[in-house]
Amino acid sequence: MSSQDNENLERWTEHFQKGWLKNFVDTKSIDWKLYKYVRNEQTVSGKGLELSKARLLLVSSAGAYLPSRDKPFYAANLLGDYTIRTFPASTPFSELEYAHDHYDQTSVRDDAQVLLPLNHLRNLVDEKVIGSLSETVVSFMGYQPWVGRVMKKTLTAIRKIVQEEAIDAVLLVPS
Amino acid sequence: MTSWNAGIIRGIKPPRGTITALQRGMTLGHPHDEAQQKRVLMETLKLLELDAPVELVRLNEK
Repeated sequence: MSSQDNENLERWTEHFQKGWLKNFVDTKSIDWKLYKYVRNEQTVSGKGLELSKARLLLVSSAGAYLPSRDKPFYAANLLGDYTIRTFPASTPFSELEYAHDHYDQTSVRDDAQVLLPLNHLRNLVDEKVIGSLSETVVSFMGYQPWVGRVMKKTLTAIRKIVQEEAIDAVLLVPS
Repeated sequence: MTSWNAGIIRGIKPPRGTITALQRGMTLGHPHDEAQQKRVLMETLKLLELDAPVELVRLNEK
């Protein structure tokens, strides 16, 4: 991630605070007509890599977490939850739970691979298509209207794992 | 990344990505449709081999 990450952040934050957030504080309700989705002007650049030698990190916004170890995301918070959870890539799907109020979980509870393709990725490692898969999966709850908090809290936490686990590439699967 | 939400993704401008016509909650494909899930996954992963930025790739998956 580069300085391009925050190309419009100041302008976006001013609009957010005077519009969507002010309305929320005043009325305790959400008005999406006041919300401005991020419109970046530049795309981050980077060299391609050899997939068969790359170490890949799966990042999911499905709100998955390990209830035997971690607290759920604060899914009911209309201001969003900017924390992350991690769990081992070897975790059986049956041990995961989902805390995310903003999408229909029917499909992921029927077949987790619609959002967490861990079996497919392991097969691709076995077939030597991918070099290796990170031992950790990163998960967050993808209802995060406050972009500044995403950048300062969520992305900072993910970046730390990327560095600690010597990750070459990240696959983001939004829910 | 891969997403069903073309509008938001175009605004974010990720370095590499695929767009489908799948639905929220099933980003990689329909439940138990392993062939579709693998297609979306592979089409997305192979973009990593290209220098970014790469134009978003629209996949015929719904």
